[in-house]
Amino acid sequence: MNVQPVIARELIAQSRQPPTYWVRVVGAAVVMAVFALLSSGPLRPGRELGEFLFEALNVVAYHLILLCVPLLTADSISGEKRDGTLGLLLLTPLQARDIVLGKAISQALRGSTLLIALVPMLLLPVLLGGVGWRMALATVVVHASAFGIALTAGLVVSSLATGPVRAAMGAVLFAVVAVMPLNFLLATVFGVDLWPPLFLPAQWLSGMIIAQTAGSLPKLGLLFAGALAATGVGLWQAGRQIALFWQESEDSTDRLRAVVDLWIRVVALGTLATQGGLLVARSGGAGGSAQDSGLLLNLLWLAPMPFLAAAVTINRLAAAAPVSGLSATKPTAEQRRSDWRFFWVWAVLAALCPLLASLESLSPPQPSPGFMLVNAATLAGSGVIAGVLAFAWRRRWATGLAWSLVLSAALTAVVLAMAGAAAIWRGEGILKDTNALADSRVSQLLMSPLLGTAIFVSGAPAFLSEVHVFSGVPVESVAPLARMVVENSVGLALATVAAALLLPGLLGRRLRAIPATADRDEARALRRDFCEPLMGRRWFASRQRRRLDLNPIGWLHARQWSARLSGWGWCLAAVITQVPVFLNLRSVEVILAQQAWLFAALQAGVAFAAAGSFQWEKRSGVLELVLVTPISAQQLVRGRWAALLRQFLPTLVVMGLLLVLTVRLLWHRSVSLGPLAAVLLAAMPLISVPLAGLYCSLRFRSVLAAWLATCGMGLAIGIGPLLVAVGIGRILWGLSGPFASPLMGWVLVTATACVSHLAAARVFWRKLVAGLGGRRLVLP
Amino acid sequence: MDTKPAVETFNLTRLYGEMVALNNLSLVVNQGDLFGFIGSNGAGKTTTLRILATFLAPSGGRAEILGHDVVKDADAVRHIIGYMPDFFGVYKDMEVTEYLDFFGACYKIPSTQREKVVNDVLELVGLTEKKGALIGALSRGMQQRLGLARVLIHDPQVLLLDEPASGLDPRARIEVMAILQELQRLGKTIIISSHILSELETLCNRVAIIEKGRLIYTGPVQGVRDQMASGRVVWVRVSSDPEQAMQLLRARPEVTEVLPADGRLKVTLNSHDTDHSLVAEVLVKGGARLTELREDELGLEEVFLRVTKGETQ
Repeated sequence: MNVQPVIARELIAQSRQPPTYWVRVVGAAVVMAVFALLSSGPLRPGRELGEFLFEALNVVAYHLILLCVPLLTADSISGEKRDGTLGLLLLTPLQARDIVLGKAISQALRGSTLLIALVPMLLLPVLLGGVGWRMALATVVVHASAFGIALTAGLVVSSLATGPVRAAMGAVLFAVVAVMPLNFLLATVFGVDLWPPLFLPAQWLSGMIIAQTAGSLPKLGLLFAGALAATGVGLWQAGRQIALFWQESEDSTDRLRAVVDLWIRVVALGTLATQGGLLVARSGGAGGSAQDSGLLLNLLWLAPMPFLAAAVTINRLAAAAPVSGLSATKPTAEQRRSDWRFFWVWAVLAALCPLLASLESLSPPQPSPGFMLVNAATLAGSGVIAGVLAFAWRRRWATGLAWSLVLSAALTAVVLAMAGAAAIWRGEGILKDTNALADSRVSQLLMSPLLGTAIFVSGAPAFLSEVHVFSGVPVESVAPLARMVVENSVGLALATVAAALLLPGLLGRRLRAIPATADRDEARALRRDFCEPLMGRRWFASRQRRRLDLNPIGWLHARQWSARLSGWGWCLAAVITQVPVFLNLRSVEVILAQQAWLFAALQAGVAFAAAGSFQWEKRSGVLELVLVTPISAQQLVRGRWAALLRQFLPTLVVMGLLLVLTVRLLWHRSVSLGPLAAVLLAAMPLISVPLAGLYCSLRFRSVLAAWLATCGMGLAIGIGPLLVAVGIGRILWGLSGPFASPLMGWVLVTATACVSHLAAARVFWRKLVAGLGGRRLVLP
Repeated sequence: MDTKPAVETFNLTRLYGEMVALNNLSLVVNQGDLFGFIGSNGAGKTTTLRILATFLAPSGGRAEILGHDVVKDADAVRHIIGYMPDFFGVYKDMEVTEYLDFFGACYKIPSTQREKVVNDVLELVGLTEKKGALIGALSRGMQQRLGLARVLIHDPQVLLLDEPASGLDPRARIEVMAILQELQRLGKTIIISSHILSELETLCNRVAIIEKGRLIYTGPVQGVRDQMASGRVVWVRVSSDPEQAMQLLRARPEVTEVLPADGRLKVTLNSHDTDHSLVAEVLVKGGARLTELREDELGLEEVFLRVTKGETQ
């Protein structure tokens, strides 16, 4: 083991990178701001200030770790690949494990400086009193576990990626998903009621810490051991990927395979972690609503597994089958072996999940074991059908798997539409307090086998809690088991007949159409299917040509498949997270809170897209070439800004419509205007953030720094003038005058924010045009 | 043809903070010239080309391209120049035609004409077969050709090429140079900066040598040779007695020095105007048996080494 040279090189390089310093400054500033904000507000009744502040600050610290640590590590290996230095390192006696370990240690040192910067603020609440040693210890263990997983997530994604932006996005996403099993484990070990935190993730850890008094040292040890094991597995995976560096082919099929396998491993590990946590919780006697919600969460986790297992194995095995002409790709012998290993893991998992779920379905209001088994069997059956159909159509495992999921989502959408129609037909309406979908006979016929898949595809567990199929209030309305078996069997039989009718045509046509040795690049095929138009290609091409004539810089942004994907992805996320809330309308405040969160998240997404916008042009020198063409700086900025707006336009339209709908609902109810103003305040940065992001993408060399600066600017532009305006207003009028009326107060606040964002947008526009024209933003 | 110079700079100066990258550079490039721009790393070649390409503004002085000021009339200049920097500047995930289509749109070529223009430039640089290929999959030589195609997309009259042959293998280099000769034949004015001086020597009709931002020489290649050589050198081989030949030559006032070297005689004439046939005449008339006579010419590399001091900024 020889890690010292790697560590020394990394530390020297890090000391010269501005993000090393900025991350800790920003982290400390955020915690200080939260501290100032909370300590000036009213204290919750019955709680000591120290305890309250300690919990709140640790929630912030936890999320800072989840965000910053993967971002810091995301480009550590991919950067070496781009620069060609990874190959040079591997030509020395250094082993892949030395490189990974060296990177992990040096990145851990860098990340730990963020924690050290936070410590002084985290210690203040301890001095105020109310924080016991158990609470402090639990916090340290939780932070250390999250830190290890976040660090590993960054390294694993970095070992697979090559581009800095995709590495950064992938690292954060992977860290959030990889830490979920840890969160589930936390919840089940400590018996935390998870439902409210699913809506407000920032309270998640807070709830855990409150509950930690019920925990014990062995449980904390178990938690830490789990996180340590996950970290070890992650590092091993990164090392394995680095060792394969020389075998990486030009096409991205192998990398895609590695990425898919990795995600599926995380899902499998997460399943085991959840089960382990639940068993520990049960043995520890955690009960009541906490255990119920833990069980429910567990059921949600397990529900889509049979479908996924079936769809994955069908597609992989069909691709690996030694039948000439069946698959458009030709797997190697090693890949065949790996596919069979895959099959056995998933077969066991698929069988285990319903069994575990049925064992856990012990008491009302949880569904009965029989219900779970019937559902699991139906899900597995539909997984097989969807997998076979999709593979026969595309004859590639990755594309086939993706189409299986799309097929399932489409069927679920049909079912939901039918259920909604049935509810309306019965005169119940959709927007009412009772659960229309769960009461619907139509939904019961088809929803049970498909809903779990929809949840998996949408990634919105809240959806299930709202429709109450697996648990909750309408359990009594769920059909008896015998009828369920009949209904599901009929549904499955119908689907099988339909598949049998379709299959020969699909398979026969494809066998004739595609030679077995066709293009084996799965990633390209996937991109072709999901990021390029399947229909209306000519119209799409002519539209792109018009865009090119109108403004080539805008066209440049719009032609990227990743931009199109992220634009529509945000739109889908908005629909998925909002529609269920509207379907089961309990509180307008909940809808508004969700919309405020969504706008804040959208702002971060827009900031990321804008902050990465000019990075490639700057790095590759294309910007210099464009600036010596007749394209003016003004056209350049306008083109890119308009393209960013177009990218997020579908999401903005959906969000706008939902907001209008919410306002309409608000009209008839006596609710405070505060939440509505909060939504508007959260939405307003979208005026200035695209231009601020474009400016930062030229001003900063690193995407991470540009993104953080953009987000910071978006916040400061809104909050700064607002505080000044409110301060001046209070000095002039006190609590009388315009502030006497809440309506007037909120109107003033939102108007001030709107004006400041518009003014900032104008300033950034001018700075961009001047900076590009005068080359200040282009030259080093 | 219009007789105004293709490129003319007047006391062009550019500062980067305290550092003087260009110091009162004045040069003239005539229309139709294939002009070599020579200098060490950091001499100011790229800065000059960037100013001429309207990418950088000069700190002092001015520059004109076909009579248009590069600062005041930048938009007109951009239509008549084609600039190729010393890097590729490509989108690796684009197809060759997409890339050229994009730059064609940047130069406001109507979409109805772009396809034909793209096909024409691809044919000119020999990339027609690669029109559907991804740029990332092209070799360095092909990417360089693509860069040339990009430069030509709007049919510019003046080409500014910064190290167009660097990093290419010999075959690719020769091919690029052949394309440049073809472009000159088509009437383009080409300014080319390169480190491969042996190629510039045969390619260019005029050169400029700069060092530390200052112009050291500008004019024909032969002119700088003549300037640098202390006298004309002629190599002679005789089959008769060399001592006798040396005495015959030393007796002439036009001969400065005669030295034996490697079985031959190195004869230095005092003036460039002296015809080297004089040496043959003296030896034959004196009874020596002349078997070889060759005039020694300074290579551009040697001239460059003599002219410059190797100072960089």
